[in-house]
Amino acid sequence: MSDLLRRASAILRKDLLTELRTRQGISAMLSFAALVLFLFSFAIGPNTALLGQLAGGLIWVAIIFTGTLSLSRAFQTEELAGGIRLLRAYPGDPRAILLGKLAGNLVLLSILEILLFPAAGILFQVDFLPHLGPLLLVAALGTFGFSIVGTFFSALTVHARARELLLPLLLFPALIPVVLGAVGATDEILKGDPLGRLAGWVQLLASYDVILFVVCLWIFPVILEE
Amino acid sequence: MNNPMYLVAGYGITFVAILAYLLHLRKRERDVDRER
Amino acid sequence: MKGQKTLGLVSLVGVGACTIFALFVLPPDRLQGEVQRLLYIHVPIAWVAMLSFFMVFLMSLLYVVQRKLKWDLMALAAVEIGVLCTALTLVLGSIWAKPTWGVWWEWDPRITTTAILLIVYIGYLIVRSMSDDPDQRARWASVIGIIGFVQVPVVYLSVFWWRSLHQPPSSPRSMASAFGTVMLLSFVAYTVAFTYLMIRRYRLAQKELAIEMRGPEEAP
Repeated sequence: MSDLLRRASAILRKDLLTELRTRQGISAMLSFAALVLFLFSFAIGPNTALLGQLAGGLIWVAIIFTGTLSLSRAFQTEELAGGIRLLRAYPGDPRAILLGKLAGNLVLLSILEILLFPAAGILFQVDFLPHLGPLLLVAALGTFGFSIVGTFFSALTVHARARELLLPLLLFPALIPVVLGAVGATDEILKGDPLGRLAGWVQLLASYDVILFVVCLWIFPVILEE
Repeated sequence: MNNPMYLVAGYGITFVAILAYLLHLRKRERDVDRER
Repeated sequence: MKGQKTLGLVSLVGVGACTIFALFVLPPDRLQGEVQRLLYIHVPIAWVAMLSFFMVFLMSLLYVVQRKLKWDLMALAAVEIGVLCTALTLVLGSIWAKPTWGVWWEWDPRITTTAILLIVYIGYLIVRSMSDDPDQRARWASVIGIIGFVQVPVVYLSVFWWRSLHQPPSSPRSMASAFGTVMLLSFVAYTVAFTYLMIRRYRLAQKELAIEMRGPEEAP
């Protein structure tokens, strides 16, 4: 077990170092997320009250679009360097690769969200500060669900033709519970949870995370075989 | 409610689609047999 | 081969008999009138769709455990039938919804989950077409076959909660005995038809794989 975690953290460290050296990925991600927020505002119109009502949905769609872009990088960089084959050649459980990549994705998305939530709060005139605790919980659950399924499917599509098209095609339908759960919970938090529905959404997100984590971890070695 | 067009459309589309799938299968079966 | 022909004939007679009963023998429904006769095709087709996807799940699990390509071919056969029947279920439901609910589409959890399943399994078929290696194809497909099915309850539940603010569409569930008998008969007939299609598609897949493995250089 500790061996698995040690291998996973080695992969995480390698990916973070590569990312830190160029910072291409993270800056492209942040600009893209900002653009998505602007596009939403342009599409919906300058009606701030309406934008504020829709804030939960808009933020999560921005996170998912940006996250999908960064996911296709996670394994692609390995693929360009012929690295997946090397990673796989090391002895030990291949699940360490999934865990390491998952952790790397979580770090990137956390940085994105720390900047995205305040930016959206300013643009859509929503005050997130009074609800910080519950929002952090929901963001963590939603991000974890997105990352586990996303990392899994990007590993699956990395060798396929037309993978840029294939990844969202497989990923988005699988993410529907995350979208509904995270948006539902965020909306309830912002409205002050008048109907007491927040707990249900949080439970849904948590059970999705657990189920998908277990299934993806169990089946991951199958897609790495050659 | 009692317009028979709804029934014609429903049953019609279903059976035509299944028939088309069967014809598609038969074409591929013949292609495969020719190639063997 | 002879057994397959017989099965095909039995399916044809069974489905034909159900259709005649549903359209011409049973009296029209008290509440919904003539359109209610769509029930006898909508529900069995939806049943076949769900049965197919369950078969895909089973075959994918068997493939992951045993790594025999025959399980993958069976999963492929079931997916094609499942996608066809899911699409038909949605079309039939839409045609039935218009005169009874007044709309073509309703964000009901069952309908929405069915539509999501259709997209997932179309994705399954597209992924298969993206690889030329039978083993790689089988591994990708089995993974999607398993995850696609495991997520069904969570998807259903999430759409259910999302929708629960609104009034759910009502559909009459009470059925007299003659209706029940025809319904039961339809389930049997359509399941037989599913078995026939599945066997036929599986045999085709076997032959196609044999040709693919032989490679073009040995072709006559």
